[in-house]
Amino acid sequence: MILILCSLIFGILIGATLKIPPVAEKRLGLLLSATLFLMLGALGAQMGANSELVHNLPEIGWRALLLAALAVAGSLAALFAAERVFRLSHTEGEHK
Amino acid sequence: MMAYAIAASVLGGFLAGRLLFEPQAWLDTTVTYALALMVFLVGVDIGKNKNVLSEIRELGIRIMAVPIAVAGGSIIGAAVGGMLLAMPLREAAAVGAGFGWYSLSGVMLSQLHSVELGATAFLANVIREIMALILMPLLVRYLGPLVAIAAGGATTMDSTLPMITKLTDAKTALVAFLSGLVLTGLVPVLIPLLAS
Repeated sequence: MILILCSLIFGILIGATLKIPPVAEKRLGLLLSATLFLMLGALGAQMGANSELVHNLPEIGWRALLLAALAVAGSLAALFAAERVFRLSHTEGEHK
Repeated sequence: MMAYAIAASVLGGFLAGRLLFEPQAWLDTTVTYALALMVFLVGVDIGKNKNVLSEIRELGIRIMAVPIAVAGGSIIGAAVGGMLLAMPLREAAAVGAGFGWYSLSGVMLSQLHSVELGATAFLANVIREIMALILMPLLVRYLGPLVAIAAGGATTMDSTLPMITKLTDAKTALVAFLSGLVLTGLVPVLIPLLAS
């Protein structure tokens, strides 16, 4: 996974230092979409080729639902607390 | 449109895997390099936002408490879920550290850990994005605009941003974007830390 971290850091450095012309940016966007679909197709294939996983899919679905709900609840609770502790929206009065 | 294309590629791959092949090594290698390419391109996208630092300075450094709280809350929430499910805590925490970015978290965990955990992360984070979109109006109303953006996690810099912009004000939308940007950068860092 060093590869992934290096890719991220390298990407950020390139993005921050090079001026990317709009044409190239559009192509990069297309490349990103193509990569995304390729990856998701491969993830699907890995899942489909794994009979045990296919068998467990309903259970995995429920597990995912619970984890998602608690991650959302946890993040809301933490930001609710942080908003008060750090008085993050104390300037918001000016919008009203 | 994008959502259909995403569903089609996962389902198409799933059917192909089901009908055509055994798990294969070349698939693994392909995914690893595709993953590196995707993270690189996302990195370029992050790096492009050069005005981010000045925007953070303008809003005050305290604003960084937003992504930190969202990250910590998501991971702790998912870990609590792991306890309820009798799942290893680090695995559940790693699923939570996807922050709604289902493609990266799903693929990363299937490479790093197991296809089963990858599938869990993929589904959990798809569900998180859908939940954020559905609940956003209620959350803005009852918990306030700032707290509401927590639900979106890393997606508040792209897929849920239009909705946040519509439901809140310009300042909240900017905070949502910055928070999503920081969380997006954290996903490929935190998931390997938690899962390995």
